[in-house]
Amino acid sequence: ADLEEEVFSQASPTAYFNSRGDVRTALNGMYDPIQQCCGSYSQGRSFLLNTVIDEGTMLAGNWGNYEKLIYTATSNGEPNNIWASNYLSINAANFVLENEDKIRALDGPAGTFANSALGEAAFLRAVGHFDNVRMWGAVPLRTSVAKTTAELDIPRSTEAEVYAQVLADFTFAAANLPEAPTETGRPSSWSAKAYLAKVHLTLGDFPAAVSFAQDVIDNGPYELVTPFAAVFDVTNENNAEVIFDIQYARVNLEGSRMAQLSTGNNTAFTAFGRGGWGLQIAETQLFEKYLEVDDRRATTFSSLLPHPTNGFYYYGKWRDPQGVSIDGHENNFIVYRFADVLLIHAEALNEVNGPTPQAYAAINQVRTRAGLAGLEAGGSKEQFQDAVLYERHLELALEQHRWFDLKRTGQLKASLIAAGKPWDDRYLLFPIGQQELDISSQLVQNPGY
Amino acid sequence: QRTVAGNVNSDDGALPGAFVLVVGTTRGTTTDFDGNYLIDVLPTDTLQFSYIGYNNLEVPVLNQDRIDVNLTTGNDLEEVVVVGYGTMRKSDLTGSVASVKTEGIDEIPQVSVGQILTGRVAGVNISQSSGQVGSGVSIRIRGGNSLNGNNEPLYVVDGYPIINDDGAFGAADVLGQPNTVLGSSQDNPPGALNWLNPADIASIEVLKDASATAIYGSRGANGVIIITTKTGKKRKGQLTFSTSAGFSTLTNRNVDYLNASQYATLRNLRDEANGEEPLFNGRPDELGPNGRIIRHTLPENLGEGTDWIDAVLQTGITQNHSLGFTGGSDDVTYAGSVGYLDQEGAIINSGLQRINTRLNVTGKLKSWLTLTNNFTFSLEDSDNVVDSRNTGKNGPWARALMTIPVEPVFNENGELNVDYSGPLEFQLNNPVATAQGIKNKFRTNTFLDNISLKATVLEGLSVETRASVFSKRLLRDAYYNSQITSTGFSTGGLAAKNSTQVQSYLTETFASYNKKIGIHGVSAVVGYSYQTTTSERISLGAFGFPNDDLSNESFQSGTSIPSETFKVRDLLSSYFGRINYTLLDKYLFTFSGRADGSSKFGRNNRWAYFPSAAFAWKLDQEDFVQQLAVFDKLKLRASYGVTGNQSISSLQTIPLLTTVNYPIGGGVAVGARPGSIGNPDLRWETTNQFNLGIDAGFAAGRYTLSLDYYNKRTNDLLQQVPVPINSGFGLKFDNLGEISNEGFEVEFSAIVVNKALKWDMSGNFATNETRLISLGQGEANILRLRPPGITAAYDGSGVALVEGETPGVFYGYRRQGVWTSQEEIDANASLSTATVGSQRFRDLNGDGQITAADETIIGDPNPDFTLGWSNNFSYRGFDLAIQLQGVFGGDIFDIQRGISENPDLINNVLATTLDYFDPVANPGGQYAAPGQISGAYNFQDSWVEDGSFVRLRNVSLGYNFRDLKVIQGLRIYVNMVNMFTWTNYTGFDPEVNSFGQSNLYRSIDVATLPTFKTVTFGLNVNL
Repeated sequence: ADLEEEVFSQASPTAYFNSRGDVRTALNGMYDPIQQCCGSYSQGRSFLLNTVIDEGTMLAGNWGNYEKLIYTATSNGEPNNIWASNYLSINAANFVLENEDKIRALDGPAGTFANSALGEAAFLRAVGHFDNVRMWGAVPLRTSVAKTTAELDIPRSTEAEVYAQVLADFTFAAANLPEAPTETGRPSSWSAKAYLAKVHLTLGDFPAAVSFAQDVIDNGPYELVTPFAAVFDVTNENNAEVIFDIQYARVNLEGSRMAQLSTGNNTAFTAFGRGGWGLQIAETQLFEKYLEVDDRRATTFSSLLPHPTNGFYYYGKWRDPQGVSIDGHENNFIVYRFADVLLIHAEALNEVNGPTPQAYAAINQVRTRAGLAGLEAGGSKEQFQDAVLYERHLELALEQHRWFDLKRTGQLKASLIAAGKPWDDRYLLFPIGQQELDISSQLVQNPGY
Repeated sequence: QRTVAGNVNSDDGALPGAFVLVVGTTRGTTTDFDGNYLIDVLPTDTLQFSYIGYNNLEVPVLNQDRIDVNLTTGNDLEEVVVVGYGTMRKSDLTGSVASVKTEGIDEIPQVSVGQILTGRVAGVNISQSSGQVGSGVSIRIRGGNSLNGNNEPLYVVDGYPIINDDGAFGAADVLGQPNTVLGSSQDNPPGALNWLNPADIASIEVLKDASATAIYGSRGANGVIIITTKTGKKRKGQLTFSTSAGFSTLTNRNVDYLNASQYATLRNLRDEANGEEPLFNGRPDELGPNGRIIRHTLPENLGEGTDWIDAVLQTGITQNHSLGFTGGSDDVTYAGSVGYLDQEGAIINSGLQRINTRLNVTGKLKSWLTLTNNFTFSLEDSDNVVDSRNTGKNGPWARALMTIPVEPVFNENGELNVDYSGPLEFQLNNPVATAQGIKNKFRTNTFLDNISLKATVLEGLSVETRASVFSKRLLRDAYYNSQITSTGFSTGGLAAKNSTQVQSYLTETFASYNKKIGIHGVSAVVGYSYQTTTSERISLGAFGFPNDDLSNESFQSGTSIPSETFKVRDLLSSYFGRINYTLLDKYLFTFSGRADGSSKFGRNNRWAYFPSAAFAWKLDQEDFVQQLAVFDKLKLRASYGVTGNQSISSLQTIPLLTTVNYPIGGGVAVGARPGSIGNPDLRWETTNQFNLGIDAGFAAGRYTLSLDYYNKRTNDLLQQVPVPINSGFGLKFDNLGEISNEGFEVEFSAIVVNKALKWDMSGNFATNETRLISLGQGEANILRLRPPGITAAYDGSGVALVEGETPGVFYGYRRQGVWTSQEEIDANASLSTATVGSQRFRDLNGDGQITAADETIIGDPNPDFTLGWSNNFSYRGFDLAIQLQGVFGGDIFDIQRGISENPDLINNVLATTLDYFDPVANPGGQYAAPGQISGAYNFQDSWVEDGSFVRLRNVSLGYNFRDLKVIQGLRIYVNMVNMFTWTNYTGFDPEVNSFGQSNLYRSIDVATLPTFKTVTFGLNVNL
């Protein structure tokens, strides 16, 4: 008898990519790990990246002590979740990329469908590797789906190698993605170019960062949305400021949890018009940094008054009273938006030529939208550096950018100490999970863990 | 010389193929299809009549022309036992087979096969995964051989093989992953063998060594339990009616949690330590955001408060009714039953109802052709408590242990007191509301029909063809009420229906041959088997209902969750055979084996071969033993063989895509990504087992003793190897590593007193040492695990696989009291997070920090030895049975203590924590001071306790009325199960095993519903 096991309900990867529908499905598969649950932008990253710095804290309890910089390789927490999510997404991207031949065979001679699909996969792979190399340093570089046992366990590549791949992937994406996304929520070539500005800025290649940012500002489709609140308005999603975001819907388990986790329980900003859990708390010192006239304050926090009983300020950028469940809020998570590009532009210009009028113009565009006066020209290069970093702090608060900014600019230690938090050199990188280390014969732990 | 004719008969009818032998010669014959024979004899000869399972009979010929005999069934020494594809006289066994006859046992109400076997067979350990009625059971025969594969024995019910895998039959995914549409095995699916009515069972044989199990090949490594149901006898019809009613309560209620006043006192201290205003400060109570009253009463005015454990418990009432009938004539025999069980759980709102029907009919179509049809149907409805094996706090029992005693069950409006306004851990999940608000019903239909046609082709040669149809459907109905459950509140009511269906067809044909030629005896069986199994699952979910009125019966009233379906088909094709050769009725040889081709194996390793050989020497037949006049029975047995384990989940050999969702393009779109890597080389686990045994009988069978030593080595372990997650894959099945199990078993029986008062006893003793010889993962000699479902707050591994140790040793930190002063902390510079009064741990590697390197082995779940002791007394009409069971030397890891001793006092804690450290009042306190939470969630040795216990498993006292006119028999009895337990374990129940059938996580206590004791009153009537 033929003893082949018959599977009726699941597809085989070797018999895939027989239709454009397959390609679209495989592309969707890349987003799921960074959208769902634990390692996602709407939970694990928020828990970790907003609290290990001077922006957020957590309600005391079982959710880790990241605000006290307490995390180890064995506490099975958010760093592991983020690591896992990113690599699941990268693997899904590789699944698309390594089937280039099959995907091209589905396309016409112009190749636009295949180019777009492959560009989107390269884009997602680069997003994952870019986060990983910044958070863990020299990480394993994954450019194909493992097929043998040996391929499952690979060593770290150097940081330079990972960055080279990130640049190559974003460059490929910029060249192959269409100028307008094929579907709302997918990246365009402009998304890739904006990322190239950010990667170059991170690498300290400021002329390149200037040039990509300039291109995006001058020729790209983005603009600042006014007022500031409209950027995060749940009825105004996918607006002109969004460069790349993670999509959520009002469907249980396909929605965002961000509102539930982060708005205060004296608000009406979550499912069924109820209040949030207030699990995530904005640090009072963050609230106090905003001027009263700053238009961003009322959006960044869920209330301009502290919570009546516990005195906390809560997050306010993610609100959806029409949500349908804890995991059923509509709020897309904006990973990258145009204000960020303007500030990158300002910062890189200053690094290349000092605080030029063009640099002032860039930062002041962001300030003006917030209802603030523009910066007066005439500051030193260092003062301008500090001003941009501070503006990023307030503009992008609680959006998971500041840890990267502080690390990139060498300010992590100083700002943690200033915020009254402990310091150790190991904080520049996160630990690789002990289980991952135990399983792998190739990985070594980051220093200090 | 002349010819004698005759007929060999029995209570069950004529015996074809019976041996007729002239004593002292090699001359003999066998009876024909109707039991008739002809033989040439001398008047001085004596004829010996023999037939397997019956007593030999010798008759002198003298001057008779016709000798008809009626053979009677064997006494104990000639007991017949059921083995794979046949029966054997017990005295002819070469392997290790334990037989449990249910006669006597079946007079008391049994609710499961596991209950019948508990404590009765050496080397068979049985544990319940939960005290939930009808929950699954885990059985280990001679230890666990496998890490990730199934370790449960193969059950063969009237020839039909069933693997008791609660994962495959439960609501859990057949892939071994929890079903994403609400539901997983953690929601406590009913046990896989519940459909079998214990009252229908005639005998249970436990095949332990390779000689006995090799004929089941790739499913034999974990031992085989052969269950034979009752068959009809050629006699007048008989009706048996049994009825009973029982009352169940917790075995142990003596675990104390803080009362309201104590809790508030500690909570205030905690608040002060955190620099907050004490909660119970005497101010007026205030109304919280969702109507819950936030209490501020001073501790001394709070009193006892609510005892949540009492609030969720009830006395469960069990009714069990069964009607059995049996009878037969020369051509047709029949046996059947109808049974009804209604069992309430020890927790409110839980219970099960079961109806079983069965009919077994055997008919002689021709003198040489017999047809048997054995039909069983079972319908079970259960209301299961969600009894999570995790610290996710879902079930009412776990909630009862955690909920703070200052909260009342009902609020001032008389409604259940709940509050879901805060984050999960601060919500008030009223345990009573949890029990009432979560519907978790399972409806199981099981159908098994075996049809068998047996032809006696030639003298001593028969051919049997069987066809079996097995169908099991399990429907889970779940609903989370939108007002009184946390899950329901956050989703507007959440509903699910999961249906799992397993359908299997089996066909087997085998030939059996029996022949005795002079001093040579041969019996052989050879056959072919083909089985196909289709597993299918459908999962539907919906949420957001306008109200709770329609529960989960109206999905169209809510918003649907994407549904999920799954279907796979497995095939197993096999050749098997066994030959028994007996020389001089002294030397017994058995060779058996099986070749299995399984679709579950990778395409590169599709066929597997499992041979075995055994030798036994009946020493009691030797003159030098007979001269000793000590033994009336003495047999030496030795066997060696290879068996396998193929019970991995389906779909592990091929790479597959995982289906996901992503909301893009205006709706929720489907996504796919690589899900599993597959392993085309995957194959069975191989167990090599050596067994050496002695069976002895003394004083005409009054005392018997069996000793067995075994040594098993299992290699090519099916390991669910975690792969680096940076590969984008999580787990992969591979054949790696080696485990050994070695043990010693003693079984004895004695008729102690045999007068008007009768007392017989039987007992068993067993050791099993299990060792992970090799992980097979290169240089790594340790693999840290972490019990699934434990919240992220726990720090450390908890459990590990360490080479040279028991698989699944407890792994964590060593506790060293508490930090008693700041100086003490300062002397260990890097422990900056520790505070005075917080838990202190040993810095094993002396680096000044507590890191993963300071984790070590802190406990071993494997018992040193187990005991079972049964006594039966009878005097006139009275009978009394007493059964004791003991387990010695295994540790229990009470992981729940991370919560139930937590000084953060978010939840209620154990009263033992009142011995907390206070520099002045209690400098010797062993528990962390309120609020000093550092390290409270570290897996630690202070949570490990000796789990030894002795349990009075069963006491049954009955009276038989005799000499009744109308009815043949009447018995009334009272039966007590789990009445007393002697243990030092401070938790609820030492017989705890929260992770059920898992071999990695054994003897772990995670707030699992403990077992209960039952007192039953019953009546049996025979008509």
